[in-house]
Amino acid sequence: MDQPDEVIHQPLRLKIMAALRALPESEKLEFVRLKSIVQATEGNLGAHIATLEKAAYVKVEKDFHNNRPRTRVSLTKSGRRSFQVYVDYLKDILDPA
Amino acid sequence: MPISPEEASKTLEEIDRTGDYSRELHVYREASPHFLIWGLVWAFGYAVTDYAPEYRNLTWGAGIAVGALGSIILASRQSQGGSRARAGFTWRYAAISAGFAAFFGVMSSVLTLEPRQVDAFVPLVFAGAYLFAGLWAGLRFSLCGVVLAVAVLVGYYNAGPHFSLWMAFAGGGVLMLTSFWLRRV
Repeated sequence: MDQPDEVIHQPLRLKIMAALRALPESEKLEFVRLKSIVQATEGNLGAHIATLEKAAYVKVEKDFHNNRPRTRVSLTKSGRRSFQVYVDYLKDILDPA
Repeated sequence: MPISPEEASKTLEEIDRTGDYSRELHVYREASPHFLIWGLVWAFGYAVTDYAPEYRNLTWGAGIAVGALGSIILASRQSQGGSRARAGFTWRYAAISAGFAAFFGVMSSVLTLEPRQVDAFVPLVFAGAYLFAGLWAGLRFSLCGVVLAVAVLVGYYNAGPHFSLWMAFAGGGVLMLTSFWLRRV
């Protein structure tokens, strides 16, 4: 890979992917928790999640929990794979051998 | 545009930092209901020990069985739909519970302790376990361990004949407050 994945290679989207990748597979993270982990505003986070969803890297699920609307985000298999490729790309830059 | 080695290094650090924080919060959230279960068991067990010491063994036997069963069912539910590593959490939890039971079984045959000393010894072992587990899993567990140990020792030396009642409020209370604290983080 000559160029980094442009969808992931953006500071906030990178944090979103890193936060989701750290969880067990298929684990969903609530929007409000993700917001506190990546330290982003609601609007900004929503926009970047939409970009990742469009690339099929994350899956967004909306439902009601205890009579309150809830949005949960999880990493897709394709997202997990692409993120690993991105991490390997960064490691190759540091250690080209 | 290609990335420089400096930028690559900083980006990898950011990935690690964010991942570690996310993992830590996840562990706190998963542990929270377990602390609540055991806080209730402690509060109930020590309260009965104080008011009706003749039912002490029966109460603790039943309380520990209910707590262990509740925690294992909860761990099983938490691991549903997850990866293999996540599914392994249930049997690990069961193995840890069995390990503690075996440890206390062995200790009871080696040490001769008064009931009051047993009431202090067991929670001190758990306080130590939280303290050390927290060094890997998250410092909130360590802080819980320290506060719990202090609560046990303060009660042991100052609560007189109502040490068990003290433990019901202080010991059970620390665990329940830790549960809420972990959930809110």
